[in-house]
Amino acid sequence: MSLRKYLLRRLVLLIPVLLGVLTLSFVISYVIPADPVRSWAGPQARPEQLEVLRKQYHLDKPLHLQIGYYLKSLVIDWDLGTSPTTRRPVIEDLKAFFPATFELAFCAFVLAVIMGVPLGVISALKRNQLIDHFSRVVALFGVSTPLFWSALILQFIFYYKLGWLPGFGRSDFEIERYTGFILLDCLLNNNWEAFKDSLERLILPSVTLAFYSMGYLVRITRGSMLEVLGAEYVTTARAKGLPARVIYFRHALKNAIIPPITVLGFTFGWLLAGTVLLETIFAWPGMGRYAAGSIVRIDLPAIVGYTLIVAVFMIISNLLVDISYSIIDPRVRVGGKFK
Amino acid sequence: MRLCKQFGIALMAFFALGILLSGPVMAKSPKDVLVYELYGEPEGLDPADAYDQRSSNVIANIYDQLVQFDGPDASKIVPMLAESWKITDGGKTYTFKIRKGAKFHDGSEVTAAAVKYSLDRVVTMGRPPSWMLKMIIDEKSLTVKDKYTVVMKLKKPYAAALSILTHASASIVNPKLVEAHGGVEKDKENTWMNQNEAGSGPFKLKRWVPAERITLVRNDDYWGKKPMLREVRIPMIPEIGTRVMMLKTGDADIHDFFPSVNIPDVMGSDGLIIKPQPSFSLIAISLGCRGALAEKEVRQAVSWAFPYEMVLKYIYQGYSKRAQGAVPEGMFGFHKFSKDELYSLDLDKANALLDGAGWKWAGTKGEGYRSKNGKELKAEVLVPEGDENKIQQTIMWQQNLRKVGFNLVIRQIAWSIAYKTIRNHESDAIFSGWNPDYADPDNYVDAMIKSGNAQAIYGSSYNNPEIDKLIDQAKWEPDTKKRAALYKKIQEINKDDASWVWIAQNANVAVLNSRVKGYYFNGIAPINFSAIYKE
Amino acid sequence: MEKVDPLLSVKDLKTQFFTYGGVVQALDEVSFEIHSGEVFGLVGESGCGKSVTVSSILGLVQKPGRIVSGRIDFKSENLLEKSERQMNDVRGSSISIIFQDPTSSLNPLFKIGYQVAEPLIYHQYKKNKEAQSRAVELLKRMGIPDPAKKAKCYPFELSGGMRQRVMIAMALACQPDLLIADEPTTNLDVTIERQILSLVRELQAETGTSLLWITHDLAIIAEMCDRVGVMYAGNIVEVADVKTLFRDPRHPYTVKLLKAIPSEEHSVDVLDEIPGAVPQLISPPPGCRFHPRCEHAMEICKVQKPAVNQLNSDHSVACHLAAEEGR
Repeated sequence: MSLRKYLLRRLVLLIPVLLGVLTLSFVISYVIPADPVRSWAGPQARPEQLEVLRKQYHLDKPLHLQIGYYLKSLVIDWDLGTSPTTRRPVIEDLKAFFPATFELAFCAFVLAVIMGVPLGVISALKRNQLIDHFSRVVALFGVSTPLFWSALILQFIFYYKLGWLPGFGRSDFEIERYTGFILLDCLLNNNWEAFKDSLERLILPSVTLAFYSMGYLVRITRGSMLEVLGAEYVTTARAKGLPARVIYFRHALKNAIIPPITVLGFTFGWLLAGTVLLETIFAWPGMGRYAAGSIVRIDLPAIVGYTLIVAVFMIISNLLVDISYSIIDPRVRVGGKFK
Repeated sequence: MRLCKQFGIALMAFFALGILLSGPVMAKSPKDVLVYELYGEPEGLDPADAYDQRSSNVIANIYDQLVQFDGPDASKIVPMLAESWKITDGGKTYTFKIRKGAKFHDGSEVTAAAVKYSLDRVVTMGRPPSWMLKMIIDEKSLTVKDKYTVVMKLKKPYAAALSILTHASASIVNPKLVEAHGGVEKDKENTWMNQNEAGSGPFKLKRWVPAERITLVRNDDYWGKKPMLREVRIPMIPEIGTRVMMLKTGDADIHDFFPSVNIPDVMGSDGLIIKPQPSFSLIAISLGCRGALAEKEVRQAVSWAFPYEMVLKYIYQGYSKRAQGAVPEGMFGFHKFSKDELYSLDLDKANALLDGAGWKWAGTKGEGYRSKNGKELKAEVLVPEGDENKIQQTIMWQQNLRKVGFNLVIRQIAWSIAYKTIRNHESDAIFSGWNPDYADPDNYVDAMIKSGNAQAIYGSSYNNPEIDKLIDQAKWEPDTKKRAALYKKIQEINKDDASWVWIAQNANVAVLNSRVKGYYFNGIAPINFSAIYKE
Repeated sequence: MEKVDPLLSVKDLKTQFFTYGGVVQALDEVSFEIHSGEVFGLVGESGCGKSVTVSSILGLVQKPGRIVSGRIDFKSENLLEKSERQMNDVRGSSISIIFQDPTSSLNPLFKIGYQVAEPLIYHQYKKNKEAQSRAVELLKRMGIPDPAKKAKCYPFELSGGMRQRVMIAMALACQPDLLIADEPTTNLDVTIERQILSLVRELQAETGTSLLWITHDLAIIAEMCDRVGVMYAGNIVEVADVKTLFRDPRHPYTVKLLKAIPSEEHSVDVLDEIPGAVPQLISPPPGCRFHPRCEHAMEICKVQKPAVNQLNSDHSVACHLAAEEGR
């Protein structure tokens, strides 16, 4: 089937998955032994206040009706509800927090790919030499170092001690947030200073995340590359007298890249879900903090909204990975263009 | 080659050591901009809706109220939007004269109509902070006599009425703006007001980027004393370590309500001043008065087993005062007990009380726990999860209680779950306290000791009809002397009832950059940016 | 006979593999020559060193293997003295190779048109479009129907025979002086094999490219080759022109080999078998490596490695017995 049909089919399949996620979120929120309304109104609120809130969020109704109300406002009004703790529509909150995480995830992702894949490839090419050992150490540290620890250390060294980079927040300037993507917004505001400032602020958290994501990626790339290097078509490429870069970075790498792409797929999904500790340390207003805060305060609309958005992007991420398989490997496309 | 490597390593080590030993890089921030660190994010900026301290900090600076405290002195109330007032009818009627020329940020004038609109609005919306105003007024209480005169007729004369009017929830809002954005609906919140402002205060809200920062700018047309600061930036930095770093590098100027456990981190830092100030916030353990704690003697006994001095010295670093009873020191109605009257760590007294009440040791004295009629001397106390301060204190208490044969079980619990437990009376004791809404003893005793709220808020079965009667009496008593005597009696009776273990009166420790001047804390009101300037 | 400098001259080539288990003495002073325009066959059992010889010529011996000593003169230049970059220029353009398994030898992720065009792009610096059209021409010459369409196909979309044709096209793209064919038809079924063989013969006649044909199938040798080298356990034991080899084999191994194939001349009920097995090359037998399986083994065979004995201009043998007989 054609690409269009394939995409359409996959996107349509999104709906039952989201419905399932929605139901699951509701069920879980329903069974937890906590009184969300108490949490929303604060410790010093009087009982009457609690009843008002309870009615407003349909918490006095049975579970299936609650889901029904939610779906109704979602489908008809495109309204994800109002968060009882931030007092803003959940959509507004998501519009504020998601771009922040997306920007960070994107930068970290790009850095991880730029650093991780070549390192993995070179380690495979120069097996058991110094660079290979170096990459092994980097990968090990990357995977074993707790994210918050690297964040703290990097912040401590580069912000506090050396003062080279700002260690918190997204921007020190007054910028009108048109899109939520701070770099874009700085440009839209025609503020070059702000752009540079925001770019600087992106560095420490992105590098921390990239370093963490890189570990596994390096090893997978290396392993996959080693396997491919033993293949016969690589010998053919050598026998054709092709330049080394063509042999390794075209013939070999294209074949070796499939497992790393899988890893990249779920790395990106994980990055999008946000990492609350990192965001806390760098005062980055992202999805991690939003989710953690919502859970602690049992902010039901926020929890469901967050879960839905992350589910959507996870699915899209998986879809992109599948499509990239099809693009790279023609054998996966069975019966025409796309399976 | 080898030499090269060794040299390289030595160089790196030297560099690393240099980094570790050097101090922070100090940034220079502009003189007219204050960077104020908050330990959380405001929940909303609608005076009628927001009930948390973080929101009040911002609301108090962008809105005006009818009256205010006299700067650092919280015992005196002085004019704000109300130029003058008369109290008549035995304390039931208040006539306010609104000053002329006070303008909202959009240029429209502040009138008596606006005052009525603002206070009615709080009552109609019925959101969490409304209970204070609702206690004394309803929608019929306010009348506009003329453009600048408004009359408030209380339901019953209440001595602390003016104090309630200083609260952020009694801020005067711009009716034009509110009507243009959703108006007033009964029992419903106004989302526009949560995110924006309709105030007349010394600062305007420039921008609120959720979870990032709030920016306030000076209101150059302010009717009163213009602030010296041009801009106030409030970034939201959730991690205390980062906030400490920012203070040390000068990226942040001031952080109040600084957590006491982190004070050693900033002590002795160049350019930072540590300013502890007494606040009215009480830290105490509510006893459920059920099970083993149903008996007064047992409650008194456990009160003698708490390590008050050690806690004040080591947990609160000496910055907090000892809490004596339900009314904090510095507030009207406070009663200072003598040293002998006050509970202290005295295990002998505790043991004597338990012996007298018939709680016998299981085996020999000092082994195991006491019991009576087959019931063990046991109770469970709820402690907020992750609150190291409180956890440590409870453990110390538990160790002491064991010595007198009391089995204290400690349960850490997330606050969001705690409420259900409290409501269902599933706990025997809670480590809690109270923060004042307004500076009046009634706010405290009503919440903590009166049987209805003791139950609703703290899940305690404490019920002393005599105290309830006295509380109601004191609430409406117009004569200050008589009122003070009533509160003295209330506290004495409650001390004997021992329904609370009173521990500390928290200090508000502010950490300031030495360039910041003019900061004060009067124990209850939110921070006043108008008074602050930098050198 | 004219004595022209041979196109390829392998002299005393010694290649070894340094493994944990020991040193594998894969090639033990291998020597042979290939002349311009001729088809030279290299025949021997599996594991005798045919593929290692090929790798050595192309400079593709991978760790832990290494060419220890010897010379490989190609067009009067010693390949062993060339740098990697220089060798790269030789591979694929002056010397190319066709492998045994076209399925795994072609990169599954690239279109075949591109793979054929690649040597053109990198060796002759042809622009992409030019290279692609030349590639299509080549495919046509290989007898692939609808070549323009097929050029856009991937290897898995073609049959085994077609893939081998693609490999040949790829190898001949830059018109090499020497084409090495490492058992190219072993994996193909008989009819396809026929086609491929006739195609190669045609091409060879047309272009005059020298051919080094590696096989274990004597029938192919008989059909395709001008001269033959027989390899056993890392040694060239006999070199002769093809007619001479079949008519008058001198090395006992060659004799046995020939006897092992059925032919019209001597039909047998049971094929002769060569007793024993190919020796392990980590510790090969001393002297002549064939002596444990040779029925004519003499004392000297066990201790001294037989030197190459040039019987006449077209025939050389490395055997003590043959040397004696020749006298």
